[in-house]
Parts: sequence; structure tokens; C-alpha cells
Amino acid sequence: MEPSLLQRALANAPDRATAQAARPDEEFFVFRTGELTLGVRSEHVREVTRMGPLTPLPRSPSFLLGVVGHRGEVVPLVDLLRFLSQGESKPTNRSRLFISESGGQVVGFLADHVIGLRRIFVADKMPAPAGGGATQEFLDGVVQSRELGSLSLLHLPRIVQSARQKSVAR
Amino acid sequence: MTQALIDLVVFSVNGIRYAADLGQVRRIDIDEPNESIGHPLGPPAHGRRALVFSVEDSGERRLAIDEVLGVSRVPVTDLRRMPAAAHAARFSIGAWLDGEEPVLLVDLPSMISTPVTPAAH
Repeated sequence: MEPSLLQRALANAPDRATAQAARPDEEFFVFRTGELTLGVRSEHVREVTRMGPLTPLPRSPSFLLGVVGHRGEVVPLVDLLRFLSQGESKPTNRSRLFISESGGQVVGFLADHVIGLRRIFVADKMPAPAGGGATQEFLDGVVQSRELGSLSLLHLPRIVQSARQKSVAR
Repeated sequence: MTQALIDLVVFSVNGIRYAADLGQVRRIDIDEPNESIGHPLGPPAHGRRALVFSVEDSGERRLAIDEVLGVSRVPVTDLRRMPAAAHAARFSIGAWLDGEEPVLLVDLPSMISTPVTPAAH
């Protein structure tokens, strides 16, 4: 008996989706703050939470908004806009903070609006534009997305390290 | 088993709560410019009160505050060291977690050796 069309198709079908595996991607946590759409590797984001009571720290750099209590921990809160010299965040009821962990440091960052997790193809990442000034060293790349427009991917460990050095150097 | 407790003087400066070790505070008085250590926590909004504390070889010094909110006996388990990433001023030694709200713990004698510059916040 002749094999059916479907049987012939199945005989040639691949065992797995090899085309997808050949195009590596990375998962990013994407959010908006000010006019910027930013992403950080999801592995660095421990939790996203509502903004709780903020306690300012006297004589701290302006990008350090203060400390917040979170699950029994005291967590420093960084304003990325100030850190990147792109203005300043204005915490509102809609603001969220994401708790990151990098190099043993737990740091919170303010986000005006959380977009969510997105997979980004590594091949779609473009290098940070030259002449980006101080911001450039903290960028992991830039992606043009139909959904999000220009998405800047941040190198969070570098930001945490630099924030700490700036604080110590005062 | 008894829980270790510590007494903190809780006070406010410009609407922000702070706490210090009760053992460091000699008394509460009015602010005296001659003995004042300036405004490491920022200038008070309206008060003319001061926490008076003693410093080795320097006699008494005063920290200007708005008001004393009281003395709280808090479990040591509610205290946290200042996270390394914050690297706050040397006198900001930690926080008391009053529920989810951190109240900054300050070490009064350390304020003397901290360079006097305007508070960032």
C-alpha cells in the first residue's frame, strides 16, 4: 500500500526544532523609566515588587534614593535615570522596584512601568552607539523592536559595581 | 528564652525618622550653636531641639533635630547593618526595620569626624 501524503511528510519531518536552536537568544526583563525603554538579563532580577516606604540616606550620591525594607532585608534603591545622567525618576503609586542580585550585592532599581520578560535574539543585538558618553559603558547593546521601539540592554553587574565605587569614592 | 533588646532614641529631622543608641544620648536640650555639630542629617524644619552627646576629649556636642519621638525598646533581630552597596555616610551604621520601614540608625560620635557638607537629601 502506498504511504499517504501525511506519512511521507512525517518521514521527512525533523526530530526537533533545529532552526530555533540555531538562533540563540537571551531572556531580558524589560521596563520603562522616564523616556527610556530598558532591559536587563532576567537572571539578575530576583523579584519585582511595589514601592514600600523609602528612607533617604544623608550624604549619599543623588542616584541613591535611599533604602527600602524588603522581606526582612534593607535594600539600597537606585534611580537609573540619575545614574545614567538621563534626568530623574519621580516615584508614583504605579512605580515598581525590581530587586537585583549581582556579585553578592542586593540592589533595588526603580521602574516607572514594567513591560515583562522578552526573549531577544543575540544576533539582533547591536553595539551601543559610539559617543554615548558615560552611558555607553553600561550598555550591553541596543535592539530595535517592532513592539518596543529602541530597547537599551543594560549590563547590570557593571552598574552595581560602578554605583558602589562611586559611593565609596565620595 | 529571652529576646535581646536594645533601647533606641527615635527622633525626626525634616520629617524623616532616625534612631540612635540611647546610651549615647546624655540629654535632650535646645540647640546651642557653640556646641552644634552642624546638620549632617540636613537642617531641621522647625525645631530647635538637640540631642546632647559626649565625645571623648571633646566634651559635649549637640545634634540639631526637630523633635524626639520617643524611646523604643526593639529586638536586636529587627536591626540590620547598612548594606555594602549603599555605602552611606560613616555615621549611618544600619537600620531598624520597623515593620517594612527602615529607620536609619546613626552613630552620634561618628558625626564629628564626618566632613560637614550639605545633605544630599
